[in-house]
Amino acid sequence: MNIWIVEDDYYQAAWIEEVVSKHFPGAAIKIVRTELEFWKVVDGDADRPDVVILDVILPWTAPSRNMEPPPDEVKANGRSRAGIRCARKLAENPRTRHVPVILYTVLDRQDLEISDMMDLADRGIAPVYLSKQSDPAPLVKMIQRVQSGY
Amino acid sequence: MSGAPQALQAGDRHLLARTALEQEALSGLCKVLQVIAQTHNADGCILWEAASGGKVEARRGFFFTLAQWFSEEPLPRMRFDLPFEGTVTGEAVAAGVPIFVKDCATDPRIDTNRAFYMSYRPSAMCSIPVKFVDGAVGALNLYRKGRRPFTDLEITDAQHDAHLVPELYAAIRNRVSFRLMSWIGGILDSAELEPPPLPLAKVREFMQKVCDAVSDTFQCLETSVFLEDPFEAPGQYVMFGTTWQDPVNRSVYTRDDQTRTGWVLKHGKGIKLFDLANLNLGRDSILQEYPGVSCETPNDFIRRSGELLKFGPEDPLPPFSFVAAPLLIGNKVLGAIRCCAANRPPYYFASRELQLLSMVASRLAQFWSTWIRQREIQEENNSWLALIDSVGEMNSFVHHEFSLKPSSEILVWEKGLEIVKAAVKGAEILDVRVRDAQTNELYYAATYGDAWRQGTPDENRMRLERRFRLSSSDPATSIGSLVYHTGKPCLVEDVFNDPHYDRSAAFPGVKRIIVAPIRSETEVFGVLDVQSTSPRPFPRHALAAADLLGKQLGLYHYLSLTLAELQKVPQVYEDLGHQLKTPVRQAYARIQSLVETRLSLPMQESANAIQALLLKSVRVVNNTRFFAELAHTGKIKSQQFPVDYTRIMSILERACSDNQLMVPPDRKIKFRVERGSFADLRALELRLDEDLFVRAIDCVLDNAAKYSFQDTVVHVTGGLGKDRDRFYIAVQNTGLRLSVEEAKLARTRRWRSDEAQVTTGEGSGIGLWIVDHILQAHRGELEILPTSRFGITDVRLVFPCFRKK
Repeated sequence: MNIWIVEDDYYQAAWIEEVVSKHFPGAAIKIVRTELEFWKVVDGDADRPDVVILDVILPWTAPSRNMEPPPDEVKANGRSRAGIRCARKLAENPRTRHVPVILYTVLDRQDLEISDMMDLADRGIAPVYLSKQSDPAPLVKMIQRVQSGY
Repeated sequence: MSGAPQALQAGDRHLLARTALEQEALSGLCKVLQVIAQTHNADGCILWEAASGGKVEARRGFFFTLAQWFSEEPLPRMRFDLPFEGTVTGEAVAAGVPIFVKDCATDPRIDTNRAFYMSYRPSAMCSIPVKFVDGAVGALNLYRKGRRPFTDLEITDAQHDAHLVPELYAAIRNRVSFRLMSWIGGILDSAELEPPPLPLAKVREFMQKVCDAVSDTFQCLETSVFLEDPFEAPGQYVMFGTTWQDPVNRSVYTRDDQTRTGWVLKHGKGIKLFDLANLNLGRDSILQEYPGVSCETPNDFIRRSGELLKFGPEDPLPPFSFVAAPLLIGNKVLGAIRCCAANRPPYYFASRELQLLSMVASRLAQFWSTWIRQREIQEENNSWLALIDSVGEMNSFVHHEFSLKPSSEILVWEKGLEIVKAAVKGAEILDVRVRDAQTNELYYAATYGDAWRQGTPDENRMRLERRFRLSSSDPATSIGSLVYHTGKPCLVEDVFNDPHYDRSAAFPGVKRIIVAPIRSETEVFGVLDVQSTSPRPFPRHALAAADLLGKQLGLYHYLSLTLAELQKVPQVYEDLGHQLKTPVRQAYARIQSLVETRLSLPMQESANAIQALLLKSVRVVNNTRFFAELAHTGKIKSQQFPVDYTRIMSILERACSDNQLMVPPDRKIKFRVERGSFADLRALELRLDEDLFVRAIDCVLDNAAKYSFQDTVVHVTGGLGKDRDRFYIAVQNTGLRLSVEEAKLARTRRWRSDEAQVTTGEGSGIGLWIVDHILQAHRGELEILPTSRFGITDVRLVFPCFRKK
């Protein structure tokens, strides 16, 4: 099983990775830390993921000398909807269009714009929402559920 | 057997020494006697000791069997004691010379009516006096059956060997002691290798092994260990292991029990009783040595012990000795270990056995105190986990509550009390008292716990309507007043002996109380009361937990006052809320995984992560508070004191190390304080509110790390301004660079550069705004200098400086 963990926080990503590798031994895990990196991975030749665990608030990229400037859409909407853009990116790529997505976020459900979710649904992606919490069990259950097609 | 008896030759002495050194139990002395007896053509041998080593050694004037060997089975029927008076042995010891009896049947000194003579019928004997290494006296008696008597020469030879016996016995004892301590050490070491704290069932397994080891060494029928579990059964010493093979009459003792074990627990002293079957014989000296100890004979135990030792109802019984030692850490008695009823010679326990048992007790005490500490840590961790999780939940609750119009602060207080109740074991009766500014009184704003509803409706109403005067002339008239005026939390362990506790308002049965201030940074709004009726003390973290919740409630109170302002800028508040939730939840998860060891995390990395996440949480909470305070009053209050070079260096280095911890390791960003650049500060001092200064430095370092390129260094330097009346602390990083225009805007609340907005996944843009206000409170200035060099930003905190007095 291929699992992508899209999470900018180093410690949080490490914890999710530990949880996933403990409960899904043998899973190939890829950690993606920024929106730009995610775009590149989706368009690249990485193995198609079976599940994407996607944070919603993400930086465009890490500070660097040759930083790629963000596109206008990112400039206009900022980091707080980056995860939605990432999900959209998955939907746009025929290879990843039907990959199950878990929006794993500290945002409350009502913080996610209905219009964003409707837009994703129109594009064939219906991410499931899971509030970030300290107990790994719901995340593990959710991965099992989405992987088995609910 | 023919041939002249001979003394041990060099080779034989070697055999004697080797035999002694091979023994692993005290009864091994019997083997030594065997070698001596066979060497001197004797058919039997008894080593007697005058049991007079201590005040309470009962039955002075008697010898007792220390060891024996006989060539034939079954062993002769004999008493285990022998009087000094009228016996050959007594005569030999009194005279200090060997005495021999050529014909036991006719010698008037031999009491042929004694059970020993009648069952064994020796033909000749000799008694050689010996002196033990601890000063006790005794005699080595050799017996022959149907042979010629001992000659003078034989006795002289035997005397040489007899004089070795005390040394050999001491060697056996040392070896046995060393073996026992190694054995106990091995058992407890392996127990301590298990993940802490050991479950009680496992502790019982290990204690059983300890009892087995001690019983094996002391060769006794019963060794039992009693421990107090201060978490489950405080004040009760419960049996954790025993070698007594029948069901025990009693498995729990308290310090008030009128029993021998109870005496040890109460007094924290060891006890040694010579013979439980004959306590009446030494009653006076026993009570003099151990005042109040029970001298009641445990008849059932004696009878059963006799059966187990296979003595018939008419057989003379050996002494049933009893030794017990407390498990002590300082003056605290954690438990006791006791041994009784030896099942082979030596049948009685002397002071040396008590000393050895005390050494075992000391090792056990060390083990058990470690276990208690580990349990405390576990309890504390669990409570903190619950607390951290609850505070995270509470933030969401408050966030939601404040978004309602009208919002209710009482619900927030009640939620806070609910959290304290869940997080502090023993917290039963809780309330929040808030100050009424008009009357300068505290009144109940919220309550929690069944006790508040247990009276009649009138009583409950009257209790709730009570008010507590905050006297300014004598702030220490009540605990609430004391806490209100000092701003510090207070724990009163024994309310009824505390002069500040108002008994007229007390709930029945309350034993202890914690009162914590509800305050923002500088102002106390009220107090949080946590009361308990339990006999058990509050857990160690209770005071800190109540203090934390008090601060948290203070923060919410501030936020509620600034609600209108907050609602104008909901995004900031939301950002802060999210920022708080993330690290709090992550810290919780990290701690939980460590406690439950569900995940195989590298311990150091996890510890660093937890520390970093907690630091981050604290920082976000502080920023939220500053934001609220600034939004409400437009300025930050400060209390400034002179601070010198040494202290400033210490603060800066601490801040760097905290921030180092918070930066993800893969970014490889380092922090460095350039101490040399602070040389001018040695002659100066700054007037700082240290707390605010730390916040400002933290904030600037955090920003620097966030916007630095990978694998770069954040430098902290210092220097005098041009006019030498100001000192700056500069934080330079290599990363995203601000333009001159952006630098001007950086002090503005909610402003973030374009690049910053898209390159970090967190931050609310209020950091530099707060730093700017902190510097204003110090009459200083925040300077942001985008340098001409690529990517370097220089943020300076400029303070007025003064010549050191």
